[in-house]
Amino acid sequence: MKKIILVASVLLAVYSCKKEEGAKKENATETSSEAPKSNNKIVTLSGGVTEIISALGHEKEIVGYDVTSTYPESLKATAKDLGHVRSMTIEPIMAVKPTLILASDKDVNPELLGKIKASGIKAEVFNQEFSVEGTKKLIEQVAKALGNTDYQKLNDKIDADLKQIQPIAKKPKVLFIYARGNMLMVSGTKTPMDALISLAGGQNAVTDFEDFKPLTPEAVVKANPDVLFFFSTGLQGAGGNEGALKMPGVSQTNAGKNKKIIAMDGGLVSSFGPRLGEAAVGLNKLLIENTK
Amino acid sequence: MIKAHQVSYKHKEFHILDGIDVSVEYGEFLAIVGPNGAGKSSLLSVLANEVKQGKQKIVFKDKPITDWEVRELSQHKAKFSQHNSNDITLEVKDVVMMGRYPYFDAQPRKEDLEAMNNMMYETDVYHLKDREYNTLSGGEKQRVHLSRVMAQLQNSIAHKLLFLDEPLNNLDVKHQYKALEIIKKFTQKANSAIVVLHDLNLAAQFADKILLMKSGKVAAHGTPQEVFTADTISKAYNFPCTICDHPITNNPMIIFG
Amino acid sequence: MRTQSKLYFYLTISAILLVIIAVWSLNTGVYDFGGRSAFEVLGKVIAGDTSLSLSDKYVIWDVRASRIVMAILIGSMLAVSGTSLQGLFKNPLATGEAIGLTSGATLLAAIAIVLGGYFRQYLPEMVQFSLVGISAFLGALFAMMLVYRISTSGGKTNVVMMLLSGVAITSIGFSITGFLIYISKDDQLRDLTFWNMGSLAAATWTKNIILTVVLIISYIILIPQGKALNAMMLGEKDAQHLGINVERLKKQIVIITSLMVGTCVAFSGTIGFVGLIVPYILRLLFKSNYTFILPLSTICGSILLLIADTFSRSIVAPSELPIGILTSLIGGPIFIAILLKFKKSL
Repeated sequence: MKKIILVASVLLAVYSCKKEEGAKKENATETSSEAPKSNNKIVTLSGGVTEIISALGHEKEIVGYDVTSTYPESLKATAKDLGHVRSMTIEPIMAVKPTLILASDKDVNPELLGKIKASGIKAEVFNQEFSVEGTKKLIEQVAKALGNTDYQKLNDKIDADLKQIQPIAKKPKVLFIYARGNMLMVSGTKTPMDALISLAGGQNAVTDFEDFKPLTPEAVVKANPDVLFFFSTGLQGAGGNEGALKMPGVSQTNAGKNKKIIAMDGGLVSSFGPRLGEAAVGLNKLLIENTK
Repeated sequence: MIKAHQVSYKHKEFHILDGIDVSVEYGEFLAIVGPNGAGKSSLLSVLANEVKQGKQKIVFKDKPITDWEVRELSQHKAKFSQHNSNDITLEVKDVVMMGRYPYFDAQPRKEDLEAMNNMMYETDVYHLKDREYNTLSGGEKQRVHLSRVMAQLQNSIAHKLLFLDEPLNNLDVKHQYKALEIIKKFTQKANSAIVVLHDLNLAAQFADKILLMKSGKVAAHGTPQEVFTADTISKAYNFPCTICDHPITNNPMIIFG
Repeated sequence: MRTQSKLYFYLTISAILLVIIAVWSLNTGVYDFGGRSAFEVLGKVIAGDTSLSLSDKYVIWDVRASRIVMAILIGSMLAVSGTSLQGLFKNPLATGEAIGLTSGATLLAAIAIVLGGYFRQYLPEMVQFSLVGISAFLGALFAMMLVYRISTSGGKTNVVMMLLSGVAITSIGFSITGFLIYISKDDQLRDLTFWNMGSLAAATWTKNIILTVVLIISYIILIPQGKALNAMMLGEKDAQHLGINVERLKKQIVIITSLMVGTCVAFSGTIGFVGLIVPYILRLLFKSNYTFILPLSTICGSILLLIADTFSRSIVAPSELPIGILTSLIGGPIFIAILLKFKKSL
């Protein structure tokens, strides 16, 4: 009896594998004849990628975006918000009938990636490096995926913006704090904020760990930043400047004593897209102001 | 029918049973009596193969009891235990039907339903059959389990064995006698019963043989006439007693005090 | 015989109910099939109709249908494992979560996720996913063996010890998993929290086949034991006197339930309370008669999880409510109800 069941299961497995293969073959032929041009319907699952697509002039082709894609704001009117990539499922993506899905590998849930691949819709997953070179490479890759060759002007703009950065004689130590509700995390090295701070002429007050870690008063005092750096929404949620000054350990730091607190738009800071230059210049200006 | 030689049972360092020999024949009603802590329930447990300790061999129908296949054995022997679980969320008839589990796989057959109904009549619980077991009184629950155990041995096998550990607890006089009569009827069909009893007079009246225990050892073994002497009993129970003849049945009658 | 036909009657009603709910679930979702009903589209897929767009086919078959089937399989196995464990422990609160199987599974899965992050570049995807799955199954197995060791001696199992060991293992699992979440990097953390909540979104037909095989093997052994579980209510000694091989039964239940629970946790993360809710509701109708509630829990478990999953993906569309939240919502009050009933009997 068990043998029959085993054989039946194996047959079922083979049959469904065959079906998948058949489907994949059909997909391959279909998409090769469908070279992506401006009739695309694009789903973008990363803020940075979204900005690049818009900057390249394809904004109107976007039909779906994720929660980190906050710029440009005009997207809200023309496309659908699909939610957080970490909890997103494939069906809402398919519901907007995309022809192209673009995502960054840093955010997306691997199960979702698997489903996207299996869906047969053309998809590109980019590896996003948080540096000037990395951004330029990403711009080039996204442009290629869109079949657009006119991307150099984006890179040029970044370079032009970056030229406006004024070096600061004594590099200020900057501590980036991610504030969300009661959760406070600080940025160590190898994060987008870390890279941006360096670009803008400052230095990360934290050098002894990577990534984000929960804030502890001892770590804050040891880092002794000259400036505290927040997302605008984060700072607001934490109670503005007053709230920031009350955070554990802050009162013992230079930043706390001198009340040097700055904030920038979250999307601008973390997207590392075409506005990278803008972001760096903006941060640079704020740093200069706050280290006089 | 069942023989055990030099049964010993230890709990930690304490000998609950110490070198006991027991043997029961076909058609015999053996009553195990004795003061509290004598080891009566433990002996019954060991004989019923509930205890895996010790090297003693118990031989049931000329085969070591451990060689018997579990399901087959359950058609030859059944046990009524003293502390039945309190919480059985089933109806009475489902509890009695459990006695027939050794006989059917998925569905009870006609003979199983018959056995179940018969035994429920005998123990006077038939009128309770659709009630929830948990709502019964202690005595009623006792009778339900009695009918379950009896139903278990309703079959055509010859020479069956019944173990009963204080089956009369919580029963009123009428039901006590009824229960003992059921057991007696059972043994009169060439089956055997080993019953732990507290009431010496009932033991004297119904049992064929008595096993008197004290402190984990056998104090006396024989017919009621042999065992129930004033000397033996008062020594075992450490309490003065008088024996006289029962005015109607002529069995020994034990009066304490 | 009377009881048999009664059982078949209820099984049939439940099966019909399951089919109705499956159809409803098939029709639920944000994707628009352009005027055709989901059912029609499914019919075309099965018939091999090539006029269907690939997206339509993909959504109805690989997304919705496979997810519905997974909900049916996992719901069923979680319910049956709960019912079996409750028969074993003679306690309505016993579930895979209670004896530490789910914690063991989650713990090893968490280790696999965090460590696997370092090797992610070197291993093919298929292996990565399987690694987590296999770890979960091994975790359930280790928890089972540990609990068995602690609470069994000389061939007899002490049920109270088993439940307490479950508590201990759950605590250990919780602390180590918490530690791992703490030291993990951001994307690994996301995987872990995603896992802890439980979800059927990652359903694939391959996983469903594995689940089906496990289900069939388990049910062949377990479902006929309804009688034996009833007998266990008399106490292990008396059950043995009734001809039930008690030690073998206990081993079977523990091994098979850890197999079922481990496989389910591997593919869907932790979905709690199913093994608590289904037997509880069935007991209201059939008392603790395992010859009824064991077979019925197979279908009723599927019904419960399918309903929960369909709600989870439609209530906050296009987003999804983690299914564990829905099952806990139903399960929490039931847990309290059981405790109150227990208190009354004290």
